[in-house]
Amino acid sequence: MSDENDLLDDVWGSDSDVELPHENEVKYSRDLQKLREQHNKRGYLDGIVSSKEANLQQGFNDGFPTGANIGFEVGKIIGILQILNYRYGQENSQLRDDYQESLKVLKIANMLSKQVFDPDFRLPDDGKHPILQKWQAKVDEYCTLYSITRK
Amino acid sequence: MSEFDELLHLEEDFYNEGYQEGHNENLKSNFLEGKQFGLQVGFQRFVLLGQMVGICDVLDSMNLQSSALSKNVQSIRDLISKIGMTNDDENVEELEKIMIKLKNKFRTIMITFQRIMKKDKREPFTFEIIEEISRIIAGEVQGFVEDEDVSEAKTSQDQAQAW
Repeated sequence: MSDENDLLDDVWGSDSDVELPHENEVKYSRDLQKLREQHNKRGYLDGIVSSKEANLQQGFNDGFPTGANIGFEVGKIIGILQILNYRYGQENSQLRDDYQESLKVLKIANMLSKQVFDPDFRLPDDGKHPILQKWQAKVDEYCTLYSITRK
Repeated sequence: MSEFDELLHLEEDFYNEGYQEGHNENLKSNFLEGKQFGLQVGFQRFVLLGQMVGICDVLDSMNLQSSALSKNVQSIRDLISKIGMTNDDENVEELEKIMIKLKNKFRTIMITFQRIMKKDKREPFTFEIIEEISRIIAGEVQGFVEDEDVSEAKTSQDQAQAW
């Protein structure tokens, strides 16, 4: 804002007419053109900075609940498999293998990968996460097998 | 309106015109950048909570005949049910507070569980192990990078496998 006065001096110092822009069809004098460029640029930079923060935050808030939900569901699967594996893993090799595999497949890089989400980071149309679904079904089977009631 | 007023008005118009252009620039890419980050942070904050719920479900179903353990499991459930899944300031603050209580309670649960399982004579299943698994799943062991592509993801998986 400190160059405001210089700008005004510049404009007032010239003989050119100050024309107000008419709708759509605007012919600016050279001075006015200069004035426009300077203020437009200042606005542009402020606009970029302000929107970057606002948009980042908006995006963050938009993604957070989806991520939280996936993380929570992944955690449940891991938790159940982890303790079942501790309890029954020695006698059930399938359970042991599934637990080990879950530690690889359900990792964040896989669960939030671009193969699962569309380019706008949305889940497929049905809102269901394919890897999550597959593993939830697997865990359901173990819960039936070991009479685990899920609350 | 004086010419001076008109000029000031004009400056403001030019400024606003530029502001709008700047505002619209990268609107989508900034939003998506934020969204990707939000997905990650949300995921990372809730893995351990999910693990606790899963383990509680199994503990409850095991009929371990310990009223202390059942009581603590119930408090874990009550605490977790209070947690909101949005990024509101109050939720974030609340989660931090609850998390400390949860961790302490869960550590107690696992100690009790260990005491009950002692006859098994095996390496203990501790809260520290649960937390360690949580960090691996949440990518906090190798430090998950925002723009990690699939090839990098594979290497970090291989590292986790070695654990």
